[in-house]
Amino acid sequence: MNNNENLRQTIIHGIYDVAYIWIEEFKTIFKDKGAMIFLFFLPLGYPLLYSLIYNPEVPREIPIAVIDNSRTTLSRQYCRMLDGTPQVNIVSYAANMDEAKALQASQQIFGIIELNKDFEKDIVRSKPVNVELYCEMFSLLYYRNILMATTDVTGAFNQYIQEQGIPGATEKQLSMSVSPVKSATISMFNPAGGFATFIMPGVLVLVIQQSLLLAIGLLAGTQREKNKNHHLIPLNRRYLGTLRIIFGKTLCFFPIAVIASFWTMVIVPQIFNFISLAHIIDIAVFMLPFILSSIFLGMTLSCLIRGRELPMLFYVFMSIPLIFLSGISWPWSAIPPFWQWFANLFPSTAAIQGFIQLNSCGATLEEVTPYLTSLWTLTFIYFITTFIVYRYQVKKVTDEIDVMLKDHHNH
Amino acid sequence: MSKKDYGIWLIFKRECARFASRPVYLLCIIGIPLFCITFFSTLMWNGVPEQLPVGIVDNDHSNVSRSLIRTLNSMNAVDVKEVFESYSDARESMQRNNIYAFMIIPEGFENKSMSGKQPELAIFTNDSYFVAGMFSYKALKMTAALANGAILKGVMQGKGAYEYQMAAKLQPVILNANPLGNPWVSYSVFLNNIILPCLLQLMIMLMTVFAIGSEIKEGNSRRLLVLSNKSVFRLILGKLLPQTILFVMMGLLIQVYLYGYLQFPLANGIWPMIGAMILMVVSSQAIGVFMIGLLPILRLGLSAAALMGVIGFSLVGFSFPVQTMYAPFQILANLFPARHYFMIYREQALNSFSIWYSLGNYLWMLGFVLLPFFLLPRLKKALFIQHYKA
Repeated sequence: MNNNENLRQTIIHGIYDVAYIWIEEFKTIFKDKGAMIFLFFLPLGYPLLYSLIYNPEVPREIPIAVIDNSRTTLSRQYCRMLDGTPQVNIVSYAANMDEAKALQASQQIFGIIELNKDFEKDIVRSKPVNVELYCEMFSLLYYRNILMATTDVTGAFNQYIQEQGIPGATEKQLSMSVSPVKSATISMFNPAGGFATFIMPGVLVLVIQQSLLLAIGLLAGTQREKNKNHHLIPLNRRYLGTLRIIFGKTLCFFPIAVIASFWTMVIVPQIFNFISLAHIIDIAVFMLPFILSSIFLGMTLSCLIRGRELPMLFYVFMSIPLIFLSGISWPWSAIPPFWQWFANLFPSTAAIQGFIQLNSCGATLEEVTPYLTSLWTLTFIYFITTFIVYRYQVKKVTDEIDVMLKDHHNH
Repeated sequence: MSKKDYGIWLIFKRECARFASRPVYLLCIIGIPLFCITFFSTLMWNGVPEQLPVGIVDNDHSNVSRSLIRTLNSMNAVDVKEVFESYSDARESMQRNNIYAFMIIPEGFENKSMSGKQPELAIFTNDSYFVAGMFSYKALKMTAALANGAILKGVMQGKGAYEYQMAAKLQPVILNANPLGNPWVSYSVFLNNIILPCLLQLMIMLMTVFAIGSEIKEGNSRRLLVLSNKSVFRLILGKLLPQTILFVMMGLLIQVYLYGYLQFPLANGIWPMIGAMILMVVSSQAIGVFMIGLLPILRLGLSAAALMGVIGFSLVGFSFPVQTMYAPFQILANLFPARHYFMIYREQALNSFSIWYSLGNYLWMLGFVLLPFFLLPRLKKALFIQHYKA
């Protein structure tokens, strides 16, 4: 009976203490400009900013020059077909390579097409003829689009020539003799091949993790500077339960992260018309372990990285490797095993991949189970590490209080 | 050295001692760039991705379809992970992120292709993953073209055409792509040349703000002003010079690694790039001074540097070209030293344009160095008052 009474007392006190810590933490956040920037401005503003930067999606009408050494009906037709593509725009017919290079040097064109002087003659006498494409490589997107346009046009042009070469055939016979096998390409989940469609899911997920890591680290730094003897935990009786501190703090960051996630993953994609196939409940189920693991990772790191401003020096640059480690750009299957292992330490890796599968590719929750499992595993691991580091912090403060009490008695 | 200038030397020495006693400086100036050099170059060591997992739906089960699968598997770019029974199986596999692309061989493919009924090979790519989608598409498309060519060749041989006639009949016009400066279309060449300087720019801005801001925060800055004989200019110079030296060394290390060891293309020799790197370091520092001058509170200054430095990766325009962005972003892009470094790299390393074409970019970076002078009085006041509130 007595034991039961004690347990009940402990739980009630515990809940009171959690609530107390929760309110205290909230107060600290709203008093701290730096934390406010990273908890609110970052997740609210950056998704908008990035969406605006990438909103044009694909480069259209990339300026190129043509050096037409042939100047014949066929060569002009090839150029007309090229000019007609949405990807490129012939802005100049250069007399020679020097002239074209000068245009390229001053950024007026980003690709050069050179047609052989025997272009028409060779085609007529059934001799294969080369078309040279010189393409700028500072942007892969330019290269990809210029190459796509010229490849498509060359294919269509070839078909036209082949059809001309068979007199008296019906259209069907013609296309048969040219291509016995047809092929069609269906670009799934990003039909326009747009850049925003591809990069934004990664940015939207990563911004949540980075905002939590930065804000938690910053606040821990503030508390260290505010508290006596630079402890992370104030000399306050109510802060002396490890679980109470962890729950109190988590309760404080969790709702903020939920609001931020709702904004970045539901509202922003709607504003910019990004593909969003997942149901909001599925997104919520998926985000739960991601937010929790990010909070616990942040709390663990905040005990290891001391100094108020250090999180900004250490976490900010990591965003760039983390985007690459998610496999969104350089494919996951081509990432060396060591870096795959390293990548799995961060919640963003599984979260970005899972979110893309769920929201862009229309996968079900069951189909993203591996990602969910790894997020829950990380949540568990980082909860344990948070417990260990906070336990240690609490012990330090308790020891100090003991010493102070002893001194007090001795006097 | 006049007595006045001696202050610079004192602050310089003091700063070096701070580097030794506070690990955070060397960690951020040397450690983080070293980590990133290692990270990005080992991440994409091969330059182009190999053995991308793809699938095939074989509804034909014929000799031709099996030979198609063999052809695809022989390509280095892809690895046929699974042969599926149906479209929905393949699609599910893609939704589970097991494959990046698949091809459907329709029923009766062999018969139809031989009898001129033009069967269709359907290629599905997951373009949520940019590089993976692009490279697996290339391999699948090429397999389809090879299949087409093989069958066509058979038909023409049957009609008694000669080999030399067939080449022109099959492909009258051949497109010959010359990717300028990166003939291998290596993703590593494309990325490392600019992402590492961008990273350096971010760290330089952060560390400049950190070095000056923490003196204000710790209440040392008034003493420093005494050391520099009340000259904020000398104070900043002495304070930042150690960082300038180390960051330039890191920048040159990046260049030695990329152009010396990895043998990345370098059309006009190393000097234009070394010049660009030194200017990029100094101008990023100047922007850092400008930020802490504008927001002389350490954490606000750092937040500004962090937010701007991260945006730099996008506005420099290597992943998404600046010319494709909306007009305001095209203007903003000019405010990043790394943008001008990137353009110089394009003009001097990828292409071999005359140095005159790059002059404007060098001048832009020189221009940034003037930026802090406008804020020196404000910064001096902040250094003197040492009023710190978060």
